[in-house]
Amino acid sequence: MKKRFSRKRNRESIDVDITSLLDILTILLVFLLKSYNASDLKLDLTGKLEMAESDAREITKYAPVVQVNKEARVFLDNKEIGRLPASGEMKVLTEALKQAKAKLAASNTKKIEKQRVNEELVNLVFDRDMDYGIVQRVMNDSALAGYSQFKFIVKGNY
Amino acid sequence: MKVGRKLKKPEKLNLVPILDSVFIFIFFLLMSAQFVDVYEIGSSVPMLKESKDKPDEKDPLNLTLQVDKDKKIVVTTGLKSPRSRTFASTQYPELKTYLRELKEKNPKENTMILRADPKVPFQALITVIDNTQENKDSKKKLFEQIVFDNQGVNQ
Repeated sequence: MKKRFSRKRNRESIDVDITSLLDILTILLVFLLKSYNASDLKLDLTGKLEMAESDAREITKYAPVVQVNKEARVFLDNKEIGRLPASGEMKVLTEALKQAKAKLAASNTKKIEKQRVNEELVNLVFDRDMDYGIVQRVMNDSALAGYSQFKFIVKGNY
Repeated sequence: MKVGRKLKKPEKLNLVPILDSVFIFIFFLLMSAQFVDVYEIGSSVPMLKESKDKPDEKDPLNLTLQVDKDKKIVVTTGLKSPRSRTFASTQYPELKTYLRELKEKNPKENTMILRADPKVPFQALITVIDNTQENKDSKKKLFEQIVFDNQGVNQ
């Protein structure tokens, strides 16, 4: 007679204690929710640029971003354009800004009223130690490219 | 006769769906997180326009803040008969009080012209702007429209 070996089939399911995992997840969730910024502007700071600190709490909006770092190198939407000349207009910047404005205008035609981006607006990021003279020149070049509203992007101080 | 009660096993909550959604939420937040809080300060280009309205009899406020190399601030008001008041960089509370007084006298005005020395650092200028605005929690507004005077450009 054959002997049958019966295996125990009813194994008890193993309970994993996930309380600690849930604790961590909750803390992470609260931290991320606190640091969430509803702005549609994604800012990648270029090297050698320390932002100015301010009490302002107005949320940034999407627009072309001009960054000028400590070495007076100018970036438009994270693409280096060149170095600010010692004096006078920076024609390369004016042209690049004009092109950005034309692109925005073209993309705006395909969008509904609510989704349209303000074509008059340009975001400016300067190093905190930058002279006002340079700020003024970049603003002047932006105005020559047809932008009439400037927003200085600053870091919130707490 | 004793009636025996069946001992019920405590029911366990099924946390799998909520854990799934929390994970998805965390990924979404991690992807959209910006760990540097950035904000904006607005300004606009000075515009000229022809006005057919009768010129005001009242002297316009024409509030102008001039920041010099030493971060001293000269506040000038009035067009026909300008008046000036100087504040040191340590006198920001006094400056704010003065601006509040001006706002009370001219509630319709909300423009401020800012003129700075080309050598003034950007951070100093931002600090001056911060100190000319009401606190972030306040509902009242001071002269929130800032116009940069472009005198001295390209010099």
